[in-house]
Amino acid sequence: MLFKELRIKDFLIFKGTNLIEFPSVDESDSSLVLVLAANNAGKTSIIRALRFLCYGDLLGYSDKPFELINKAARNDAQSNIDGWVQATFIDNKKTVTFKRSISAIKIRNGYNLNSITLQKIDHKPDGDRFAQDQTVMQRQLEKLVPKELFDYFYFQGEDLAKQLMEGTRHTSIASGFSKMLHIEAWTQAASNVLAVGKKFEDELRNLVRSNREYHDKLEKLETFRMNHNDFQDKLKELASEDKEVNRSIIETSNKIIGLTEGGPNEQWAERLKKCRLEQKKSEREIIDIDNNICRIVSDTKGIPFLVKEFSAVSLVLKEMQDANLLPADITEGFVERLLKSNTCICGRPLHLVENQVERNCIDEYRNRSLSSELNSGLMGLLNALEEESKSSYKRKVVAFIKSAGEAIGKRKKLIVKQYELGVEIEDLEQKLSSAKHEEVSRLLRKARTLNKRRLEIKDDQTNYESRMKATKRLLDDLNIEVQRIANQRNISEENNLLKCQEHATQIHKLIHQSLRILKKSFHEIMQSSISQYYDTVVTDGTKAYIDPESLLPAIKTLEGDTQKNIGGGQRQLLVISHIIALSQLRRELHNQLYNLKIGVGKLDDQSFFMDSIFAPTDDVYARHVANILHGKARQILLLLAQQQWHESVRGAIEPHTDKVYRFRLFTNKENVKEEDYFVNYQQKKVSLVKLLDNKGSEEISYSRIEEIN
Amino acid sequence: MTDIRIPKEAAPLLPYCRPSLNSRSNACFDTYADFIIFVASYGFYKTGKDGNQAVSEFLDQPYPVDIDIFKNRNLFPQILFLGISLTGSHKIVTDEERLARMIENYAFQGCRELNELLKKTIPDAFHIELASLVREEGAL
Repeated sequence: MLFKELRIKDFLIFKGTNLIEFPSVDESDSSLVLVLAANNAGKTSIIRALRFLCYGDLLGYSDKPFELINKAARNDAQSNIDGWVQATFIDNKKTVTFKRSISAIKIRNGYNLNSITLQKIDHKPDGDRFAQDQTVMQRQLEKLVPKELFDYFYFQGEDLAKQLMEGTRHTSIASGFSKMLHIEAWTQAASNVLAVGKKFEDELRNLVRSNREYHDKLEKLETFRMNHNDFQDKLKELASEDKEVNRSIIETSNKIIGLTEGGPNEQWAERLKKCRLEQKKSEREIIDIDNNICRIVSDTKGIPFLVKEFSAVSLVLKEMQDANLLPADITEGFVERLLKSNTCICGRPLHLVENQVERNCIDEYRNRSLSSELNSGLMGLLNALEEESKSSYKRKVVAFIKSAGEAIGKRKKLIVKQYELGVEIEDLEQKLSSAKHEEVSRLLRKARTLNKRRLEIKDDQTNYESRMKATKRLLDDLNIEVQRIANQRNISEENNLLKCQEHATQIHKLIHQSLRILKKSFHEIMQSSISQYYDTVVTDGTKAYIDPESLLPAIKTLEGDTQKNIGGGQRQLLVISHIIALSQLRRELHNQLYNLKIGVGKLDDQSFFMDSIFAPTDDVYARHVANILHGKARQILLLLAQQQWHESVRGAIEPHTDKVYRFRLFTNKENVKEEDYFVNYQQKKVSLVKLLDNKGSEEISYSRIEEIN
Repeated sequence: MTDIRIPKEAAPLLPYCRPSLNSRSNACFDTYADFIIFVASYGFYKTGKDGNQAVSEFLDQPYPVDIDIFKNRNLFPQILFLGISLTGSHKIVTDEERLARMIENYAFQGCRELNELLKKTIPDAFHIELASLVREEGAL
């Protein structure tokens, strides 16, 4: 924003209507307006008047605001009176006038405040437009002149230096910069996007909460789907393994066939098998024969050992037969019974006691009788010794000898056969072993293992297939269920919210990144500029430093410590350097945006009112400041007191001044002499004071702004 | 009641009797009575009439075998045979005690002989030895 003109009427020190016209400047130009003033002529009132205009600040007159109206004007007025400040600005090629007035009503002993009003006129090619809403007007005005930066743009000497030197703590100026450089807009945009994202998130959360069932189902669906996929993968793996195992089985079988088919190996193996069968058979036969032999031995009862005695014993038994002892037809029992009955078997009575013959006869019976067991035994023996008898010992012995001989012979043969089979088996085993038997065995073992694995794979496949089928059924059911719930809810809304939230997050991230880059770029431009104007001039080795976050300046010693106590000249140099750096930055920004064809108006369209910037400065710094001042900002209004307009400043400023004004003090003070208030400007003497005639009456002092031609 | 005791020398041969607790798979004799009559016959064959020497040591286990068991298993005629063969007379047949002692005496002799045979062979083949003995010694 640049000033086109500034008018002040009957306000503070100014009486009547006072005008400062600013030279019009091209986009690339800069202008310097010089205002020379006597001491205490009220040059600071310009800045105060501006503050009143911009913000309605009562400037310490809140108890009696009407006192803002110039006292002399009030004294002269017969009735109500008003004072005002009016500025016409050029902002982004638009011309707008703001005017704030204060009116007072005259009462018997003075004035009462009537009103303070703000007016705005938009100057358009087709005519002026008067705004109505004061609140809107005020907002527009504050946008043109940010409150935080008022002291920076329209500053009075050391005050600004002090504020800037407070460093990053001075948040209002930093915040003003942030607004001015649109950093705040970026931050605001970031926080807006964040808020939008948060809003989406909240809405999403609400939506999700209301559809918890849907999400539970979805989660379950996902789990089942994963399981289903796992089973599918597992089945694929098993199928692949099965294929591989099958291939190995065929390969192994082919190898076995190749090793065993045809040739002697097969015959040997066949013969070995037969031999082993025969061996087992003969083992069983031997066992049978052994059992038979045992039975034969037992059955002989040792009779064969008695063969030689057969005839002798037969003779004794013959004798017994001859003696009628055998068979023992009369047994001992019969004789005993006979003796007890006293009657013979023929019926005649027995007289054994009296008749010796009868007694002897019976005794002889007794002697020749045998027990039935003995009779039976002897008869059996007699029969056994009869050669013709079927159960004769002789026949038995012959049979025993024959069967024993046969059994032993057969056994012997079997033993021989077994031995021969054993030898053959050993031989065959040896042959097969030395051939490829081991390899065949190994392959057979491998084939068995592979077959076993194949069965396991089949089992696993069956298992996984049934599990997959079950999962598929559940999945289908769940899908239907999810679809049913989905039909009842607005999924697209959720998806949109999700997308929006994602976009908001991305935009937020992008804005942050951009802001970081922007700030870095701002810092680099300002640092470079301030170093150029400050570091090269100071002689104590201190360096100007721009805080990357606040963009406020600071002074650092060679050791890197922040230096706060520096001389007035250095302070002013720092302020001017910072102003120039900021102007450079704005100009740079403008150029870059212009190159990008982004029309945002002239970012460096800024006017600066600098009041008494040489007051605390020695000549050396004053000259440096004066030298670097011109051409660095688009519009500068330099307010200088009479004593600051010394030769070194004048030499540097005068050639670059586009317009020059004086604050002429009108006073009736007795001790004021006009000759004391002359300044040189372009080899002319310019008076800054005019004495009023009405001496003796009330002391009157007021100023008027007059252009010096 | 007349018992026939088992001589101590029978101990190594008892595994060849099936009732024995430690009987072998090639045990031949179904009862101790069968065993006694077999070994007594062999003892008589090997020693003749001289072999009828009184024996003093007998086994506590197995218990002595009642002569009725011999009768029941139709082994009594053989006892009678040995008695008649030893004495050359039929008179002995009525004296069961004498017959029983005679059997014990010849069983002792038979066991002693078979023990020697057992020492020369392997236990698993002893039944073959016995069969060979029957075959060779009993040749008519």
